[in-house]
Amino acid sequence: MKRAEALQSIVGVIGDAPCFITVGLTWSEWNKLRSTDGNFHLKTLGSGSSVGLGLAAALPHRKVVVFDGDGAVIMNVNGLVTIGRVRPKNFVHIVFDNKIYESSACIPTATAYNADLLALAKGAGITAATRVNAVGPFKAAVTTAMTTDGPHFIVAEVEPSGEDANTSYSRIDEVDGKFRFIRYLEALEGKKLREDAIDVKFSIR
Amino acid sequence: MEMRNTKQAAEGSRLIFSAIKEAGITMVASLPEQKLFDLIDLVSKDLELRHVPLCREEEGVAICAGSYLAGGRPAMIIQNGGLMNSVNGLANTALHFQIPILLLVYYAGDFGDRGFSTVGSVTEGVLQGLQIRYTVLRNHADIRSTITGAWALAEDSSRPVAVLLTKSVLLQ
Repeated sequence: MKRAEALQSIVGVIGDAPCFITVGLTWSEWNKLRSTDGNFHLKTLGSGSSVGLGLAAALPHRKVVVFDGDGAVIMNVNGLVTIGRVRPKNFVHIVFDNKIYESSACIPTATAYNADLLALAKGAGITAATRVNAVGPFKAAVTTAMTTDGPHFIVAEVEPSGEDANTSYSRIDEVDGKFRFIRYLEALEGKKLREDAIDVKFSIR
Repeated sequence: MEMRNTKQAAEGSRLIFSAIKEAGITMVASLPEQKLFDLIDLVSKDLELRHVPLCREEEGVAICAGSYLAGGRPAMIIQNGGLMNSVNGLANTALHFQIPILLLVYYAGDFGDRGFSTVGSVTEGVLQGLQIRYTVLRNHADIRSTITGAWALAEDSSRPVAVLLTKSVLLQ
């Protein structure tokens, strides 16, 4: 299965849920399909699952989605362990395993050898973990994840896209992207989340 | 889960905890250290603070960022060795996206703290290299103004700010 096909199949299933997208091409593929300010593009490889955990814990009534990659997960394996400990019910972790560092010269990752992401997740205590390698089962797994309590962990085995990963950075000003994401969350929540940064009661001290 | 029976927490740790609350911190990510036991214990038992126990400190920077996006005011309680573990996250997540985080960092290898002189010797240089403003907390009298002021500075500058916690201030 191709990652872009897999993503296309779940646009309606993800709906308006806030999404964190790992470093690399997944961002541009997803942002073309669901072009909203609710797509947060990360800069630190592996950080997606942990930023997602922070948001999921803060908004326990809302599904939070992370689009991750094999290289990212194995850089932040301890992030899985913390998710398995905290077990946020609203956390949906989707990992596209293409077995290469697509943005770094397509060099093979450890999943091309002996690492098993599904076993890592289960070992970390994430019980709702599954592996799929075709679009139909992928969409079914994501639908289950979006409609039942998690945390959910889905390994989707995909082919390398074969595209030039250097084109993956589309939003240059990431601070602007951050504020857009916050405003997107505020629209979903129907209330202000961040007040003005300067709090007078501290500033006058 | 009660990890061990303790006498009342040391006054310094209680004062730091009170200052964290006064600063308006809503979420604390932590990794244990013996000298931080009382402080983390107070945080974990507080009903208002969200406490996330970490496996490695860099993930804590990202968890703090996620909390901030939803309106939270995040802090980390870690050792200075863990600060070293967090450097990429501090640069490419916290500083790059301009996320304020209150970093409460145990100063292992400080004057009079034996066994960790190497990490102690590089701690302030790493913070300077990251252009993260910091101060060293040594006296109980300075706890309240330093912690509340550090968070105010973090929020005003949209950057992490560090307070290095010494053995004397935590355990007395």
